[in-house]
Amino acid sequence: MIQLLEVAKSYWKGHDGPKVLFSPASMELPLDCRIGVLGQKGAGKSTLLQMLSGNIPPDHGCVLMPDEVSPVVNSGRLLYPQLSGAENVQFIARIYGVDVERLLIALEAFQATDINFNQPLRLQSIDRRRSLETAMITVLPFDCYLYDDVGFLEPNLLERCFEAAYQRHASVVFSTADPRLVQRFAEFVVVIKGASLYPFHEVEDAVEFFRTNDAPDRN
Amino acid sequence: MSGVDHGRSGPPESLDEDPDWPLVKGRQLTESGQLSEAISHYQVALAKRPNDPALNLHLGRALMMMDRPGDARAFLRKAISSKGLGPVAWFELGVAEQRCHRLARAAVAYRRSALGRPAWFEAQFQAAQAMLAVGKRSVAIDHARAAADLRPEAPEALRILGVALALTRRFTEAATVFEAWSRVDRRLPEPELYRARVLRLEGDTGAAQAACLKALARRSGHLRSLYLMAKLAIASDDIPKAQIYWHKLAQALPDRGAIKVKLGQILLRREQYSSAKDQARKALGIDRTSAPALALLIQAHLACGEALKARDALSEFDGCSRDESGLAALRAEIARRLDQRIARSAPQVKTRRSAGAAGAPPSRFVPQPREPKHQSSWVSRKQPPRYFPSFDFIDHIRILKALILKDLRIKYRGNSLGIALELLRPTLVIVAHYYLFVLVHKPMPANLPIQTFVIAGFPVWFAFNGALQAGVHGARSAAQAILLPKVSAFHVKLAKASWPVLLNFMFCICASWPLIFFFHQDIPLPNIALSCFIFLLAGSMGFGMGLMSEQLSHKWPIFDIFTKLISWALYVTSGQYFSIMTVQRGWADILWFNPLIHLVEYERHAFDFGYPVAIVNLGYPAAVAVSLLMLALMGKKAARQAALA
Repeated sequence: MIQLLEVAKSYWKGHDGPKVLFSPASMELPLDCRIGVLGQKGAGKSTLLQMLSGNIPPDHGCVLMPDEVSPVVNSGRLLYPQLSGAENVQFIARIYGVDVERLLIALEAFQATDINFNQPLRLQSIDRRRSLETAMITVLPFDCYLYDDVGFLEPNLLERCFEAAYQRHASVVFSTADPRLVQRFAEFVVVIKGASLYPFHEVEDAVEFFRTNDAPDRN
Repeated sequence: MSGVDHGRSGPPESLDEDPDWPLVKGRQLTESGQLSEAISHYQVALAKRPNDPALNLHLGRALMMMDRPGDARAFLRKAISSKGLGPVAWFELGVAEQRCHRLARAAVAYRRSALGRPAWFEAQFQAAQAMLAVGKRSVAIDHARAAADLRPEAPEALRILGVALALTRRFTEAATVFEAWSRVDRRLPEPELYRARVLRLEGDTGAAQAACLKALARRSGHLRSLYLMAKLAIASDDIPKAQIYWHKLAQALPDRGAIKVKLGQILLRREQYSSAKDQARKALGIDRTSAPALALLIQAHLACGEALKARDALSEFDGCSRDESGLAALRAEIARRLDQRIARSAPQVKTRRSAGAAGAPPSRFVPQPREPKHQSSWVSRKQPPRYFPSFDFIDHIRILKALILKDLRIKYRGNSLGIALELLRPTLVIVAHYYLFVLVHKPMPANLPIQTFVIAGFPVWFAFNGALQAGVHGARSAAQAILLPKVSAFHVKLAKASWPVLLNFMFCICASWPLIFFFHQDIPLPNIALSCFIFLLAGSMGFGMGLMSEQLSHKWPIFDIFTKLISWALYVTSGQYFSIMTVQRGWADILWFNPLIHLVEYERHAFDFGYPVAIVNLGYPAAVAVSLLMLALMGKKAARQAALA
């Protein structure tokens, strides 16, 4: 289980004062399914994923995750634009102690990207960079994969990523502002609304709650 | 027949008397506008001298002026044989062939003309243009380059050269040429637009956007620039900016349905569904058969969960539209949603669920059954998850190695002299101080050579200072690495600190060799083990101090200034300009407390074991380094625990 114990997070926004993303809340999220995090733009989806990956500490409480958690994919900042695709692959392989050749072969087998591995990434389109980042993290073995803003990823690539995670018995947490993607991919949903986290076992209930402004029927 | 232009005042007695007379008469008739008479005159003269090149050339020109290029070609070909008139005749022939729409022949004629007279701008330019038109791009580049060399201020030559280079995929050169064109034509938006296009093809989207903005600054509302800017914004995934430019385009071209569809697609992507629907309806108002506009309208309705409205739109406009695969898929999606709607409205389904099903879900993702080989090849999920990570020392080393190598690549990418330049700074400092000490006849303790005195002193300081800076600022510009779990800011800082320590250590070890081998100077080489230990201590001390300083400056920002002052004080008293053995006793007692002076003195001792180190002690800087590192790590841990509490 992913455990959030009294987790709270807020940002200080200059003269506007603090912006509360999450009020203190505790919940357990199952690890044996795909978890969709649904929220409007600026609701705190990316922050929640960064907290799950351990990059951002919560202001209050703590997050308990499995040992091997992937970095947050598709945040667009994992790869170095100055380096070529191959050098980025080499860097990630060194960090995670994986053989570079094996990683390159796995990427090729994954058929996720038509990136030019010899060209610096800054010369290539953002979509290709994103595809490379997503594919590279997906082919590495983790217990839990975190995908941010999956609406920007190609649906085919996303399906392949989720399929790969399923095949290796890994859980997936993804965030989106699009309820259709949650309906398509999620098995468990966390809706972020009004600085609170609402877990839903039923996807349709989550989408319905997301689309309406009423308080959820917790019964 | 020697020339073309000869002034004559009166007619000769007969044609045989003066051979230039027909030309003069013909020119007079041409200038007075009597072209038919001039042609008749030339023809009469040619009947007597059919192979005269000048007569043929002038007759050809007169026929061209009469708009009879087909007839002119035969006479111009005869004129080609003349040495003096050859290039001119080829050029005129090129013009005639071009007017007859025989581009390949025109290109050959222009090329012959340019080859015959290389310093003729028009011939070079026309040859470049014609060669580009017939697809001989490399030849076109040669002629365009020649034309641009002849007249660097001629914008048309630069344009042709840039286009030819771009067509041969030499984008960098093309961008440079278009930049030159832009400097010549400072008002036109086209040079910057062309430059933006080639930069985009080169893959430098940022520079392309900058060029495109310059084009728009020259002429706001320039449509092609707006269009390119919109495409660049989409390529760089800047959807809000793309919306702005498509909106401007839609305003500028209100009767273009395709642009409205593009704007609608952007709006749909930004979840502005009603605006997207408006744009789609406007596009369909312009062209009822537009399949993309209909697809956009249906997608917008479906995104709003309006399956019925989508069906109505399909029936309203589908009759005239072309059937495309996208529309077929949308038809199927509408049918599926309507089926679901019927199923949801059945009495056995909960009301709350059916109310929320306005936007019915797309087909669910169902993964393939798991394959046994995957189960064996990956970590079993049956093990309980470990909430306390067990992280080995080897992992830390591996991460540090990856970060150091990455820093090395990023720092010196595309610059083979990068490392040499990095070594230039200590070299310059050392050379400057060497000459300074020679100039002031500085006495050296224990007869140590001045070269060794400076080579042993400054690298230790540089190593310390580099590690200090890495400890303070190392993680501020390394957000990417820190986003990877298990890679902490500490790793990034340590990797950044390792590089100056390693570089200065290598410099200290190797700097004496060129002096010995090339200048035959008698200077000692250092003890490598002792030097290694000294640089390790210098790096550790600097890094520990940097970490402490960073933590304290988080709490008290003024501590940044304090750190700078301390580092200056440490530098001045670190024994770069003196030896602790030669200062007065009272000063020596005070200077002893600077741990760097111990390291510097011991490094000189590593070069020459006769150098006295009785007063200094390596144990003191070692204790300071360990204390600083321990304090910094404990402070970090305490801060983390305080945050958790």
